[in-house]
Amino acid sequence: MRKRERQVFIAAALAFLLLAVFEPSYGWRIRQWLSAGAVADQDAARAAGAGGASAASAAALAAENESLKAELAVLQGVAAELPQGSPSGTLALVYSQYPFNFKSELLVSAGADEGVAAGDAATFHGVLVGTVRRVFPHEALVMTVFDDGFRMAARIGKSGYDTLLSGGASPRAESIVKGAAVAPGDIVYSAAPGIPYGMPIAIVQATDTSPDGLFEEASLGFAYDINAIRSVVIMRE
Amino acid sequence: MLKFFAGFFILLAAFLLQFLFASAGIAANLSFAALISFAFVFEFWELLVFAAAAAFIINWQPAISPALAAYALFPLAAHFLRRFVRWAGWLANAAAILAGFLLLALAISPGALAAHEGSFLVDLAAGEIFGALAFLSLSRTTRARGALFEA
Repeated sequence: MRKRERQVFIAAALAFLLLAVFEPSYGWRIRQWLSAGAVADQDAARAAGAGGASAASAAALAAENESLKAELAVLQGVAAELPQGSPSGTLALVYSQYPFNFKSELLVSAGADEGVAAGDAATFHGVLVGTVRRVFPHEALVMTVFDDGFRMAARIGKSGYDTLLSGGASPRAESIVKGAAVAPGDIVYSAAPGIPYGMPIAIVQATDTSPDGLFEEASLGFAYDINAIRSVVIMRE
Repeated sequence: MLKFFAGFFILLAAFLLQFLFASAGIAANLSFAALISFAFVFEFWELLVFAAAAAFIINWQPAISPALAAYALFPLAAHFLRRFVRWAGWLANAAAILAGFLLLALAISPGALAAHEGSFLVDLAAGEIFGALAFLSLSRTTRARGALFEA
C-alpha cells in the first residue's frame, strides 16, 4: 500500500472514530435510515398479507384495549389503593435499539436535561414497555420488558394477585400464589415503586405451575411489536 | 481500490440484512461476521476504516461499552493473529468468527450465553454463512485481480 493511500485510510478511520465517540447521533441517523428501509419492506409485506390493513393502527388499537382492561381491573379491584396525583410524561423518540443478542434496550431522545431519571417508566400508547436504566444529558437508555435483566413487581387481573414480572425474549409473570384465579385474558399491570400504579403491561396467555411446584406462572402476550416502536412517553409517579 | 469498495458494499449489505432480521426479532450479527472475514483479506489500514465505520453505525448509545470495544477490536486482533494460524483460509475464517462471537457474547453478558444457547447458535450460524460468503467472494476478487496483473 502506498504512503498516500495509507494516509487517506488513517484519516478516514480517525474521522469515523471521532464521530462514533463525539457525535454518535449521526450514526443513529444512518441506522434509522438503514432500518427504515428494512422495516418498510416488512410492513409492505404485512400490509399485503392483511389485505392492506395498517399494522401500526392495529397495534395502537390493541394497546388501547390493554389500557382499558387495566383501567377496568384497577377500578374494579384496587381503586382504594390508587395513589394521589397524576403522573407526568415526556415524549421521546426512539433513536436506536440494542444491536446485539441477549439484551433489549432502546435509546430515547430525552435525558437528564428533560427531567428523565433512572427508574422512570417508558410507555407506548399507555402500555409500559420498560424502565429507564441509564440517563445521559439528552438521551436515556430504556431496558425493555424483553430484556433478561428486567424484573418488576406487578399485579394480575381484577383480584390484583401479586406477581413478579420476569423479562426475556418471552416475558413471564412468576411467583403468583398457588390457587389464584388467574385466567387467559387477565391484564398484568404495574405495582412497583417509582412507576405509576396500574399501568398495563401485558395480557395473560396461559398459566401453569412453576418448576418447584410452589407457585403459579403465566406466559404473556403483548399488544405491540417492540421492534416497530418509534416513540415512547417517559413517565414517573 | 476495487476490493475496498467491494468490501464496503458487503458491509452495507450485512447491515441492511442485520436490521431486516432485527425488525423481525431475529438477532443475526452479520456486520461483525463480515468484519472478521475482512481481517483475512484486507490490509490493516483498510480494515481499520471498516472497523471504525461499523462501530460508528452500530453504536447505540452516547458512550463506549465493552461490547462495542469487542465488536471493533476483535477483527483487528484477528488480522494480527492470522499469521500464526497455518490452517486453510476459509477454516481460519470460520474459527475466527466462532471465537469472535463467543468473545462478544461474553462482553455483553457472561451469564446470558448459557441461558440463550439457542439464539446464540442461530446468530453464529448466520454469521458463519455470511462470513464464509464474504471471505470467498473477496478472496476470489483478490485472485482475479492478481491474475489480471500477471497477464
